[in-house]
Amino acid sequence: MKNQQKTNLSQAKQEADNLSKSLKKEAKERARLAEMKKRLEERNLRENWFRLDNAALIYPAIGSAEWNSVFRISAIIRDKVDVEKLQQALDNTLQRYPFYNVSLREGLFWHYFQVLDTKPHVEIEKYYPCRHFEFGKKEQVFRILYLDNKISMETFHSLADGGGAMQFFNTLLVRYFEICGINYKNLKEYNLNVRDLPTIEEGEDGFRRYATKGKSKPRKEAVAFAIKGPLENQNVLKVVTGVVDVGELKKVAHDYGVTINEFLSAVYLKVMIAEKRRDKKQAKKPVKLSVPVNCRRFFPTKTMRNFSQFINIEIPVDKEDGTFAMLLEIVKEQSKNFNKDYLQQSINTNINSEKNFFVRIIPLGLKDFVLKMVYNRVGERLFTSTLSNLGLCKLPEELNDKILNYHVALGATKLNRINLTAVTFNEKCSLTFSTRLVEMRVIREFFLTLAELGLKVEIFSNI
Amino acid sequence: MKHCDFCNVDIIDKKSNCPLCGKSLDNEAVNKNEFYPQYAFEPDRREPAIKILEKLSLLAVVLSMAVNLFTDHTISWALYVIIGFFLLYVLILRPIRKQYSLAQILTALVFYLTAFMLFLELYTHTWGWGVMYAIPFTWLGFAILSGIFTLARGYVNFEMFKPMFMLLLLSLISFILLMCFDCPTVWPTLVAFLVSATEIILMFMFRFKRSVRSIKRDFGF
Repeated sequence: MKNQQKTNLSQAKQEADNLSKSLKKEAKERARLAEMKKRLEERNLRENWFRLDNAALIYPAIGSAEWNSVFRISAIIRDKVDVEKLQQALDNTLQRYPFYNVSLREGLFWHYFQVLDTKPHVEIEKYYPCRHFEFGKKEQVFRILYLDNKISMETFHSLADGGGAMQFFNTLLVRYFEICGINYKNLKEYNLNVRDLPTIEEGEDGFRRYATKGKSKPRKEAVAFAIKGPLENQNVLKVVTGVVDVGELKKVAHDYGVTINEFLSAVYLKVMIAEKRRDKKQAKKPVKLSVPVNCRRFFPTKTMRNFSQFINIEIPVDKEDGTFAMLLEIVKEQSKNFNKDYLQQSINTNINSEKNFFVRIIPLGLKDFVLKMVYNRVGERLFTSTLSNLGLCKLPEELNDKILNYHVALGATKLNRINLTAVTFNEKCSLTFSTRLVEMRVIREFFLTLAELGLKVEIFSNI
Repeated sequence: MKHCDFCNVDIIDKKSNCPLCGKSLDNEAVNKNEFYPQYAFEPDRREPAIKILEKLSLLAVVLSMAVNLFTDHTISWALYVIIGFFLLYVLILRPIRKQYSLAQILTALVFYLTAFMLFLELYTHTWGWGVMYAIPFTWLGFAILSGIFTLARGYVNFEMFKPMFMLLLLSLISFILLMCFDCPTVWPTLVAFLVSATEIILMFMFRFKRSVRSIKRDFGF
């Protein structure tokens, strides 16, 4: 009896300890958040600039007068866009995310973002997607476009990655429809309310937060096969979106025992291998697919700036003649290696380079020149194309019948003239190719392969 | 919605041809993008002009080098041409292309003109006039200009802080070096240093927080 009492007592004591520990932890977290909020308010009062995050540093350097790294998120809505309401929604959204109202400026050693007091205006879409941004002026590094029943957001990559820009865009859409008269039941669940207060965590550099002094990843990799061919004019970007039912896509992928991302990667790699067979000069170069990984999945943060790392899936040259099932196996096997440790090493490598004393003291002009050279050598040449999957777009259910389609387009880069993005909304997966190549063979083969595998594809384009 | 049998896809747009293979879908359909605009051609007048100037400059440099090498077997005078075109690029073409702000133009001017005068002195073996007079007076001129612009523009963004700070450092280093080498005339350098220092001190006195912020921002602290 006494023993049992003792056991019960010790159990109760342990539970009380656990409870007090969790309460302490909660209090600590609350104090941290309060401190962050205070710091943000203080900073907003004092500062009118902030530094670029680690991943953002490369984009101003590699850009040119005619091209820079831009991506677009678009939503096709049921009714025609009300411009005044969209402008009002944009103003409200910028109050929620003030660190998006910035222009890119040159310092002596680094680029930086200058907080602007001017508001951007929504513009009518009249140019090709992902048009370059002109810096130096006091202009924002994102733009909101509208056309009939489409709303788009084009973002310079230094400001945010797909995840961050998507959060901003979704908040804008939620606010726009709210102004149009929609009442949301569970808006809190989605963290898309413009009435919430901005927090410093949303504007933090996730790379700096999670970088450790641990192991770094070597940068050395083999040069990849590049898709070549005649190009359209500089400012022309051809965009083709294929819409497939996500249920069907999931079923086909699961039949092969892989995820949707792995399945799409394998199909795209198969098409690129077929393309490589036409170019005998590059026979020895492997086909590689660059896949951005959202680091927020592994390193918890609310940051809306860049926090992604790129991983390259490579098909060895001797395995190119294998079956589709073999390709899937390779993709699946390689995807397993890209875990938290791998990303941690990758983050460490990039942060170490940024913090290097000699890198820091080089003046900006020279630094840009060196970065451009390094990027040409160890950046784009290391992969054939990009597949960026933004995953499921979560919006309040009231918007399911208001928004017809969501799609994302990446601007074509200098060497990788064709890119693929995927985003899922309302049981529809939009696969968007953006290219400067005149030849449409790769895109056609990709959708043809999907159709052969039993998927119904509906396409629309700007060609 | 039309179906392309060749590509096995449905086409949402009202197109007469399949966008993937180009095969005819419907001869009567109007070629219209459903979700994209009909693009207007936007000619960029600035960029082609800059490109032509760049190519002409490159041609002039190559030609002058070739002529100089062919006639004198050296590149003595061709070097002036090269430097001239380099200055044309960094001081005119690049600022136009990159849309430099006034502060950036001034910083570039100070840096390259100083380097140019040093080159002239070294190359023509007339050491002295540049380091003792021309360069310090150029710095002095730019320091005064920076001060005037800062006041005139109502301290907007403190853009001029960077060139001012650069002038201060350059004139200080130059003054120390001239003193070390027992140079007969150091007063122009000293004046340039004192004017830059006074301007910066005044900025710190009247706009302390913004000055600190400018240093942090411009020097990446």
